[in-house]
Amino acid sequence: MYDIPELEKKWRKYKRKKIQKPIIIGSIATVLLIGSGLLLSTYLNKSNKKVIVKTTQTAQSNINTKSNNGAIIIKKVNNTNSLVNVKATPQQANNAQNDNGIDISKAEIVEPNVPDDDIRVIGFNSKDKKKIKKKYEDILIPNQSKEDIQDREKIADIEDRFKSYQDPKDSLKLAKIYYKKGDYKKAESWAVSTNNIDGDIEESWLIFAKSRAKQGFRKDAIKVLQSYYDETNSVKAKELLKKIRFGKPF
Amino acid sequence: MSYFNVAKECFIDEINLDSYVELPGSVMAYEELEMAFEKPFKLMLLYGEPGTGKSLLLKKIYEKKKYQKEIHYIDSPILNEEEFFRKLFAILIQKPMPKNNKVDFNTFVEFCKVIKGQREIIILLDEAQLYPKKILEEIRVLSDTGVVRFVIAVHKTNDEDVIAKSHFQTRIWGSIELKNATKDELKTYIHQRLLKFNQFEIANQIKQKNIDFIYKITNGNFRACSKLMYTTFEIYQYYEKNDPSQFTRDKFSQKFLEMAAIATGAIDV
Repeated sequence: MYDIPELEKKWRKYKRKKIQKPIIIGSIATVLLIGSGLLLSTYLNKSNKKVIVKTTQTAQSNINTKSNNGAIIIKKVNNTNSLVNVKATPQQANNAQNDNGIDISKAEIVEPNVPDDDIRVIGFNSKDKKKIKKKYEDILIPNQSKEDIQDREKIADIEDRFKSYQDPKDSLKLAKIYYKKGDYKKAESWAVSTNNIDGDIEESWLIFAKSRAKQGFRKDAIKVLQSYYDETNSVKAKELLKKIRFGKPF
Repeated sequence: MSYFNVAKECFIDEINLDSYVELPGSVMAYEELEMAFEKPFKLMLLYGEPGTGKSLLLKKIYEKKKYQKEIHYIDSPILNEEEFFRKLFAILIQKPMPKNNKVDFNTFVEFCKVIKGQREIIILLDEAQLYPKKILEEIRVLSDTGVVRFVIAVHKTNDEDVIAKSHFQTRIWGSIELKNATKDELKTYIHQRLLKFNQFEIANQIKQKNIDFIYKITNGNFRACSKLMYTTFEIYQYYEKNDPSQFTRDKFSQKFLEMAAIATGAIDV
């Protein structure tokens, strides 16, 4: 008869091996897959780089106009070439106008040398695409809605009024607007201004704490709220404190 | 008595016709051999890997034909020439050889020529790969007389070539290969062996997953399969006695099967 307890030990070892085997194989396969993917993308990028350099140079050699608005237009033209790539002919580029209404055809490419980095970003890999998109977005002025324009006008009016009268109602209003817009730094700043003028406005304390928390300073927010709650026994402060403490949405 | 004792005994490795399971492969080989018995063959070669059922097939045909033909089954190899002659004497003369006597091989051959047309003797030789070359040569000479015909079962190894090519190349009338079972055959084999001993409950518990594992481990070899099953039921018996909580009676334990594979060396841990 076999030594069963010993056999059972061996069996457990066998099971462990059996479980580990597919994991190891899977990991190796993943590493190989990623490795070959990277190699392929490097290869594609290299071949792509050559094509784009050619296209960019051709386009730039055809754009030969005078510049009256330096850096922005140069950047714009470079990016237009880069993004439009082969589809954009030099004539199209010459006829193009930017969003501000400045005629690109009248601009001059002062520095035709396109930095290598700018060329390299035009690849097929998603990271690079994000990079291009980000650069492109920096150039564009986003379309503004009526509400945005109204908000800006409203904020400008309130700020002017606050400068004149130092009314905490105005600063609180600004704190609220900025908090709503997601600009927590400005919201915090206006909440502090409000508290400096009038330390008894609960809403201002709450906006201050929420803005701090949203910026990642949870401990600060908790500390401030706790002090405020200790002094006032405010139900809203208690609720908010709880939410921030337990990481719940507020 | 242990619940698993009978199940274990279903898989004892012995040449027992009660446990013979008719599978497509073995039935075909049997029919081929049976047909050859009606032909004037000198030598038939039965070959296959160990554990593919060669011995059982020889035994089966012997049992079936022994009352119809003059047929003899030598299951263990005879390594000594003197012993071989003694056996041959008993078969041909139909009397035991007197003690303190020796036999001259040529007289055997002469005797065969005398009885030609009167008798047809078939000798089934199992494990023929173990016979010394000298005896194999004598078998060849005897088969040439046309009186003594041989069915020789050999392992499918290099020795098979020695027997088939060097000694009997021109005398082999036909050869039958026995192969390992297919997965379906193995399933039938396991179930049939259990059912022959009325182990219906256990037979029903053995599912395809278990069969797949057994097939993977044994490669469809009947002997390896029997050994694995036997050991599995031994393990069952141990736990039945010492720790019954380790298994349920309504499901065949894959764990015990795997443990048996480790115990028999089929899995190296």
